[in-house]
Amino acid sequence: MSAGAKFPENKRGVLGGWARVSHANFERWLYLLHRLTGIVVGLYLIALLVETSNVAPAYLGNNPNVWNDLMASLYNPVMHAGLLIIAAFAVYHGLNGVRLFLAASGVGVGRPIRPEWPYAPVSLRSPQRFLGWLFIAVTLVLTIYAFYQLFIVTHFV
Amino acid sequence: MMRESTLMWIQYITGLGILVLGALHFASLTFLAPGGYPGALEYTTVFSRYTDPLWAAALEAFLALLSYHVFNGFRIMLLELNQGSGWSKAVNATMFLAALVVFLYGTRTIITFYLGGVV
Repeated sequence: MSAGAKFPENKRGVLGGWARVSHANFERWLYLLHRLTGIVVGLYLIALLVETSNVAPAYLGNNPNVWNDLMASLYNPVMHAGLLIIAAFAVYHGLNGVRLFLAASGVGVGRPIRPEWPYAPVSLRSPQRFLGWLFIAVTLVLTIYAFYQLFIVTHFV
Repeated sequence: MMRESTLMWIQYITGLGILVLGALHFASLTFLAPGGYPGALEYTTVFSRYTDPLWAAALEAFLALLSYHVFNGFRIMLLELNQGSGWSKAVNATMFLAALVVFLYGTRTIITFYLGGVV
């Protein structure tokens, strides 16, 4: 009530807030994906740190078996599929982050114009939109490379 | 407390650093490793990376940048969900502590691995 007196409070939660996709345009989808991929990769970081900290005794005791046992237990197609998703998400988040950094710096958003019909924002016809598609293409290419490393090299080469 | 605009600029700078070190990280797991991805997970490969001062320093820098970037990202999303100074203070303090814990926890692993090979 206190904050609501001057400004309406934002209490729509996740699905009614940043994850709402009705009327979402291209940039809005990129934004939604940016957050989803950020959450997943961020949580994966914590899991990765727990995993690597568990094998520290292998190094202190100079005992490769602790490491090899852990790797053997994780070396299967299900885990590799998980890693493929993490790789794709990390690459997407990084490249889209570059686009956002450029947008925040005013690069590629176009010059402001007078509001004339049909009122299409300059930013939506700018190099920014091309960058969005370009980075999606690069993400796909690098994901294919990750697939090659995680599934072809591991099982067939 | 720093201004939100300053925190956001640090978010961009750490993000660009993570892009560089993350590319190095992925490269070290694939084409920089002997035998590609399977070779990168060999005990001797991992061991030699962790005990190399440059690789260890790169990992530590990667960890430091990620600790800030990840938890500031979580903080931004959590702050949106509710309003009020109590909520803001609680989220800020929790995310700062979580980032610190994750950074120290990861640093402990890197130092353990590094010393395990040197000492």
